[in-house]
Amino acid sequence: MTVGSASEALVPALQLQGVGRRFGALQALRDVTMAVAPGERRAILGPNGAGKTTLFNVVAGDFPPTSGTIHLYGTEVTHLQPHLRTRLGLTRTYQNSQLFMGLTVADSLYLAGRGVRGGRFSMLRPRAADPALVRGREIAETVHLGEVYDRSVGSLSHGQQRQLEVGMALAGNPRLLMLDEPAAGLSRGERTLLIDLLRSLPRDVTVILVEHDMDVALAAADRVTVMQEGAIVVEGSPDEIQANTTVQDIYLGHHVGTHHG
Amino acid sequence: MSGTAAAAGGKAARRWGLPLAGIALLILYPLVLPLLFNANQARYWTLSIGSQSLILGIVALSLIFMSGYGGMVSLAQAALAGFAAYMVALMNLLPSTTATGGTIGLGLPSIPSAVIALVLATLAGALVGAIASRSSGIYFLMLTLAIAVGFFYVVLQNYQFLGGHIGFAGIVGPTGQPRQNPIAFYYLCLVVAGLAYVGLRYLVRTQLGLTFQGIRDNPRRMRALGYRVSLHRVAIFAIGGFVAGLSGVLGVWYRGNISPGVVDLSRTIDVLIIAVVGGLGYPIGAFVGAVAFLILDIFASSVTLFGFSFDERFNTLIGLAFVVIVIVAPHGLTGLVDRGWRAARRRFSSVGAPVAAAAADVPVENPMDAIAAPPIDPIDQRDPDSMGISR
Repeated sequence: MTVGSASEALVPALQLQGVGRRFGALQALRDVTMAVAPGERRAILGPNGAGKTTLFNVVAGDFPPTSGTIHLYGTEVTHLQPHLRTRLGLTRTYQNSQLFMGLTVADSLYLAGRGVRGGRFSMLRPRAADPALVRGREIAETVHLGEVYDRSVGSLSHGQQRQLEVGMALAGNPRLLMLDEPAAGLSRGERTLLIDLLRSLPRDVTVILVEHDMDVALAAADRVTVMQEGAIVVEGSPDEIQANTTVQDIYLGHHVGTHHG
Repeated sequence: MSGTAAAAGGKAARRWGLPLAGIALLILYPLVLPLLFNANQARYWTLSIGSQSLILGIVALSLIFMSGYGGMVSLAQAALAGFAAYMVALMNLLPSTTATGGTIGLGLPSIPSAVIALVLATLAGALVGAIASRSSGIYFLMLTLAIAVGFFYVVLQNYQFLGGHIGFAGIVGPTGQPRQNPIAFYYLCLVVAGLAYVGLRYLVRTQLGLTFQGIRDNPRRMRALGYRVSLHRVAIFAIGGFVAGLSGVLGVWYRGNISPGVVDLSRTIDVLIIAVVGGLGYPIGAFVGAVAFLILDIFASSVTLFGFSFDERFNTLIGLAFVVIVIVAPHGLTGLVDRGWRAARRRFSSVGAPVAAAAADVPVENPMDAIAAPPIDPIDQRDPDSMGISR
């Protein structure tokens, strides 16, 4: 254990080595190599079609990369099934909310916590003291859904559904949390709440964030990776990225001129 | 505080009043019949309508469970019921040699035969699930249908072990011949149907039941939350196979025989019709649909409309009735009643002062929402008489 804890600090939370993904003729990811340190907040920026969401899907295991390797806290997960990656501590949110429209907020957060805690086939009703239920209740407060805890997910506003999206990812006790445009469609006030939430996350959780909104991305990130056409263009601190002329050309110029969807 | 107590009492009465009345009706049903009819007619209403509705209702319940909570419309349920019926025959019949030289029959008593048949039906359900649940949509329907039709041809053509087109006869249940003791058999069916219904209602509020609903709503997210979705789908099929098996066991005791006609395609269609007519979103709809189906099926040939007899064309009448039901009540007969009941309660509670407390426990924030709301109100997701339909 002593050796483990000493070397653990050196093992990246996420390590990608030469990761590529091809869809027919389209090279969606090309030779992506990056390492995210434990506890780091990493933002991934880039115009539409840069491969950010594809990168998330490959890391989460929705489909395997066509080349390269992925390591999660030192464990190779390149071809591991998605539910097993989640049990290793990787949780994610989606650009378009992926929720359980027929269930309540309470049930959704409970299911989200139960997925990594075992007892998934239990034919008993959850007890009031069930850890997944208790944790779900806490998370509902954390993501400002305490007042709608017993409401159906389908009856929530867009902003509340985005908050639940993040809450469900948190309920899985992640070591690595991947957020795909969590601020999409949020009002200014809701964005502020989101930034506060991201800043309040404990430092033993590593966060990777895809975000179009520069304010959110730069406020929450320690380091920024900029992608274009499936490849990493530049990586650096938020200040370096803002000062980088290449980034201004490919991303900021793009961002100002066009509306993202 | 007496007002609160009265309100609580009133709430309990509304919550349990209707179910208790229904249970009392079902229990008293065979006892009242002899007062209204002669012995033959009473037996007919007890068995051919009463017991058969319960038996058909159970297999439709397995379909409604799988589609409503698991998001999978399985066309293999009638075949799984038939599979259980064949297994009961093989366990129960005395050992004998078939015409082609196979030895069949273990000569077990009826209850152990039924238990073994149910275990095998559960396993068969899981096997169907392992095959079919990797597909979805039209391919899923085709796979379950192919399995059902395949099973029909296996039993039709296998004379060595499954009796071929003749099947098996002489199977007797624990209550003896239903015709000789119709009331006992009716209560047997009622208890089994009641346990299946209550059991499934309990199951859907458990951890496992919640995972089923999560998979119904969003299998991709379930995977991302750490669930092995394919395994849970197999579990849904296993439970569906068990419930369908209950129906098969009661069915073979009801008829006393089993033949390929009990597992042919028309039975699969019957189960689908019962579930849709009753209301795919409502577990109780399985039994409502079964009663409607049987009454139509039995009495259509004696109906005369505008001097036109349906004697020779009763299938036309049945078909027309189903088309009308599906158009008028897209959520089935149960959905129609449910919607009417809610509308009446809203209207009633907005006028009468004494029932103001009745309205208080179901807050409708905006009256327009209630009007525009789907028949299953999101607020009432936990109401025992409604359940979420996959949207």
